[in-house]
Amino acid sequence: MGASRMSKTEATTRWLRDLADGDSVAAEKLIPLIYDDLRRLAARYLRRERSDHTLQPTALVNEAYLRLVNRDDLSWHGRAQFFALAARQIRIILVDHARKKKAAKRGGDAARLSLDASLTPVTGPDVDLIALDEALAALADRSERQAKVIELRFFGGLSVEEAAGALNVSATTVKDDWAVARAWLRRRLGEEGAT
Amino acid sequence: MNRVDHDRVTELFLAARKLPRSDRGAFLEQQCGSDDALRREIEALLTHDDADDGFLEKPAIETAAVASRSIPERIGAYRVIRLLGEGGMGVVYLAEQRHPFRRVALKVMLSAWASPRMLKRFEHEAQVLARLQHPGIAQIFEAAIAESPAGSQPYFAMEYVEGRPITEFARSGALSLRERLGLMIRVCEAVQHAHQKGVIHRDLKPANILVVENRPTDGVDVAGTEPAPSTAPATAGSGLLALPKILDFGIARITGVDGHQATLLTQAGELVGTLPYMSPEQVGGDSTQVDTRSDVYALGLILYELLAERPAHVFDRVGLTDAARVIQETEPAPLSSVDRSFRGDIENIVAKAIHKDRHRRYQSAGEMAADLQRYLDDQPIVARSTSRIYQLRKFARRNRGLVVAACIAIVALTAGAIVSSWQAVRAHREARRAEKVNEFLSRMFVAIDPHAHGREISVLEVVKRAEQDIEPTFGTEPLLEADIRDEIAAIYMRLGALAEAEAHYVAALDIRGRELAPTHPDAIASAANLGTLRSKQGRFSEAEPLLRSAYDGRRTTLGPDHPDTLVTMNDLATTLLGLGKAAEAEPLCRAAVTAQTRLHGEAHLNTLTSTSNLANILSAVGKSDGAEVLFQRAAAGIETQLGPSHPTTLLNVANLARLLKEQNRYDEAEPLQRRVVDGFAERLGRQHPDSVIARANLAMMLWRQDKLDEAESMYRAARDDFAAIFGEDHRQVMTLTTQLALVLEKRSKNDEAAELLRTALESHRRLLGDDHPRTKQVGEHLERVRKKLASGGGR
Repeated sequence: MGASRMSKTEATTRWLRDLADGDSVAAEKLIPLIYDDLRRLAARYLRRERSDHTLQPTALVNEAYLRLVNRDDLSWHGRAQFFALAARQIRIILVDHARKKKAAKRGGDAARLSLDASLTPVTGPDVDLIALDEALAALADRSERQAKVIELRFFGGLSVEEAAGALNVSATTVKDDWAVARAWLRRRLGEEGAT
Repeated sequence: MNRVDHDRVTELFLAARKLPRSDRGAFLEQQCGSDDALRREIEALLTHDDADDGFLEKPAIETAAVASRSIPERIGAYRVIRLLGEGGMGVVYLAEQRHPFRRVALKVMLSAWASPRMLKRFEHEAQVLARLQHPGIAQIFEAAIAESPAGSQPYFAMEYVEGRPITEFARSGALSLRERLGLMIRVCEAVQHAHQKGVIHRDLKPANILVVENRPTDGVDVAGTEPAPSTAPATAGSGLLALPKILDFGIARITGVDGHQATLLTQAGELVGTLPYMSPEQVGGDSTQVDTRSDVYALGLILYELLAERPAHVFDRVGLTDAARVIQETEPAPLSSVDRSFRGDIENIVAKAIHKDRHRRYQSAGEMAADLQRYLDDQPIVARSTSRIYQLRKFARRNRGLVVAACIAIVALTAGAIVSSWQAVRAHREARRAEKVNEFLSRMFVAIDPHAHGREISVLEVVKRAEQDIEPTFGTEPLLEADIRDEIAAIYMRLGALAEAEAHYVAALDIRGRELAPTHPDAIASAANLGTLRSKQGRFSEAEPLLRSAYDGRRTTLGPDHPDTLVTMNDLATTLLGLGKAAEAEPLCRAAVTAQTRLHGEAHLNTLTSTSNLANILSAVGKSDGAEVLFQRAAAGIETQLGPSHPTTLLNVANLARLLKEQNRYDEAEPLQRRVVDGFAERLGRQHPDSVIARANLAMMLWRQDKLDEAESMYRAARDDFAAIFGEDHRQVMTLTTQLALVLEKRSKNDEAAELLRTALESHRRLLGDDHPRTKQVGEHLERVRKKLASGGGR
């Protein structure tokens, strides 16, 4: 296991370096390498059984990063690339999770429905991840970068600076994109709720 | 395609949202013109813009995580009302108890944590926790294990505290400094209570200290079980009682989970990483090192945050290893950098509480509370005696007027020496003695308030004043007395006050020789210290036996390759050189250099020092080429290590200059030597022995180049200063007297030259004997000048 982890780390690091160097094929190679780990980590987060190797409860990508990448061999840019990739994967994982849960609810898990409402104050507004995913796709149609910013920050849990690094833009741009995208999505999701 | 241009929307939206609301209409009208669709789109976005609803602000994984959990209806005898918060170890519910009727916070551990071992400890420790009764501690009513389909679930029923984290409370209420400190005193007292009952918190942080604005009435029965704390409750601006309550006391210990393994549960509903408040020993991972002083550390950080309104350490997305390193190595920004008014006592109290070394912290939360109280009462605080380096720097800063830059360097060096030597002492001796000596030393620097004395005070005076306290303080404990004398002597050595150092080194050696076995490291150290001093005084024949025995002792007790052994080896070699035994000195010093290079590397100061000394020896035995190479290497290395104007750097430049001088390369030597003279004067003061020697050497170079005017005045000053330091009966003084006389002779001032030569001759006879070649030489000089005078050459 130790050996395979090593080689996986090496491979991940190498593909990330290629990705940072502009090799777009590298992403294709990377995703299968990190997907399983991300899913496992995400599941653990969902069960609240984190071992707390990272300090922010939200820093799943960080944890994945620490596990999968040989940090010494990688530039900041490589790290940003990894975060971007991971954020996308987490989005897929979480939306998938939400779909499954929704399906289960239709099967009649009544007790759970009422409980969710009482949890709201603890975590902030409950977001319909499935609707958000669709709205985000529509936003990407209009501005790829704005959608990316949401993906990095909301799904990836990245800070403004990290997102800026991942997108290779300034922090101000990220903040602006965030403001526009957030208003746009809020309106879009609100309209859907109304109809 | 009738879709509006999103880029344009973005651009106008961003511009419009920066404008005041009242101006936006006109702006959009102007920009959009007749494009109604564009305008509507932007207006719609603007209405969805500033809603402060937290939309998308918490990362998706958070929401998804909470949403995927359900709440049980009952746990044990409690009816669950709602979720209050959660963390890595479990969840906290607000729950209701029937008998007695009260609301409680129910902390339920994840069953994943419930190993059999933990369950056993849980039951045992729960009883201890139940005994913790203090108005400042959220009472634990019950600790039990509920059986559920998921397995055994340990839980605590605790007093439900409706309050706000202490830092937030202070900020939002805009509490005054006094109020903040008052709150903190109460927190410390509560922690002290728990410590006395043998319970360590291990996870103190603002989120765990809630402030309730009036006394809880929710059937919480804590009043009257404890005597009232000594300080009155702090009152917030509103006049309400502000009562801090500490949550989760002992939970970490019960669960066997220290902070870095769990984000703890907090009633405030936060998920707060615990790491920022963890002490160096906690992140160090050795649980045996964690004790009540780890809580003191956290209290210090909380006080810091309470005052600075920002955490001392921020670990935003920092890896665990990096964070641990920061905790163990990095000092937070001084409080005074946040607000200058914290400078002094407040800053010192915090610094003492968060000292990286737990032995140097307040030894209890009670001590910390007492010091805070002292501050509030305008009494001198204890913490002033701890952060010594800081204190010394501060002292130097206060005294900048008189105590020149040299003092800062010396003080810093001295402080460094004390700290490192005391670390060594601690390694083989009980901490109490080290503590006491530390305290004494610190106090001596701190007891001085220049304002109180109405004038500036030099470091030397400080130490001299402290001397008087040695006897009364340590009279009954001779070994302590020896320790303190040793340290004071070390300070004098740094200051170049060799005579003052002497008495203390002699006394320390005497005491240790009496009280300790000759092989005791301290006894050996005393011999080494006095030996080094004697060598510096030029009393080489007295130095030699001391250093020989110290060298042998250290070889035996510490081993031949121990750093201290090698230092003594080097000192012995220089002493042998002083005695003219260069042939014996050379291999000894060479061996020291070799061993130190192996042990520390070539660039280490110890290695460089020995290298420089070896160069001295080589130059003495006439191996000038080898010497020059070594001097260059040592000078370059030391300059890299210490900077161009450090006294040690300058000393090496001086050595190189002397070598050049010995090869009659005066024109090359002179500029180097001038650099040394100026540097020493600036860093050490003109009266420092090294400074005087440097001037004497420069005088010699000037003389050799026939720059007689400057040579004469330089010799005079150097001779007089030297005599003032060492007394007239010193070899160097008699040498300088001779040389001055020869310069005078050359300037045809034969009367004075003859007089000086007479004095010098007497000294030579006394110190070297009638038959010594130098004595004879001086005699010849005197004869010659007398002849000149007789033939009318005088004036």
